[in-house]
Amino acid sequence: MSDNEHGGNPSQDEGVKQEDPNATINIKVVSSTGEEVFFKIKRSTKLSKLQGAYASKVGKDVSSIRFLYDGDRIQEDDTPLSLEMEDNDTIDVMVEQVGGRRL
Amino acid sequence: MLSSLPWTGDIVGVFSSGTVDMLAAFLTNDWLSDNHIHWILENYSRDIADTHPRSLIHLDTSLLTLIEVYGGGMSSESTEGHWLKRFNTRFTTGDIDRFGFMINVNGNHWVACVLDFRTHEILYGDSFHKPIRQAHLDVLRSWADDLLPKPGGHFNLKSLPITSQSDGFSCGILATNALASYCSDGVIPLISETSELVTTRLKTFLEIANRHNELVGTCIRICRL
Repeated sequence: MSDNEHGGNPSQDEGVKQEDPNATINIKVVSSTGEEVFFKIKRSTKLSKLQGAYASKVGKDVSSIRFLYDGDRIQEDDTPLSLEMEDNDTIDVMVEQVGGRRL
Repeated sequence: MLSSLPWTGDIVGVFSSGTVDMLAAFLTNDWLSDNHIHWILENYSRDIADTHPRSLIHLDTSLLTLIEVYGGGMSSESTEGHWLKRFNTRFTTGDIDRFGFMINVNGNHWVACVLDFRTHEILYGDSFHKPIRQAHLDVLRSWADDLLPKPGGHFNLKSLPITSQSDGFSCGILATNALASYCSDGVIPLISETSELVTTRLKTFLEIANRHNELVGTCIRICRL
């Protein structure tokens, strides 16, 4: 991922032009156990790219984890711009769930 | 349909991403994942959107976990809790009568839950008719009570009508059906016979597969123009 920096605390980018697709945004990805990974990406970058990078970093298959913003699944083509994300916003990560319940 | 569906690549036309081969679970007795539940709820949401606009079905299955993590969203002053505060505002406007969502219990069981803002009830539906876990109820009450007008707003617990499960794989189908039935005032009927479990799975498969083929076909036609 060429336009992200992860593994450290983000700097507070003052004056980020929210409407500028080339402006960068800091995003915190938090697992349900509280582990945090920070990314800095362009507002026009598809979040699927961030998801792939996160999965690689934590050593999991991207299809086995779920990325949520404001409680809803992030979709393939979503970007920080399309979701109207703000600087330092959080993406929640959940693991895959299954159910059937054997008798 | 089985031969016309390309059994590879991503499914088009669903909000939760997944691959076409994952649809095969609807043709078997396999357990259903959160993605499958998401797709079933998407279909139900479309079905009731026009007739019951005041019923809201939440598609993702992690809501209870998130509410627990963010402490209900009302008292949290942290940036991370802001989204839940925004989320909660949809209920304080009075536009929503019923809010349905799914809960995964023990990592192996799907149950349904509906907040009824008309009657101030938390309806909990388990196809094995097990009571709600106290920890889940505490989180739900703590969150839901704050959504009611002050002072003294309080949700009471009640059973959600749900068809009993007699196999080892149908909780997801039964729980989503119970949720949709309540949110549609029974327009979507409760499953009453075992054979309906199979047809419900098949119907879900066909809806998603048809939409996929239709959208992919449209895309190919546009590309050729």
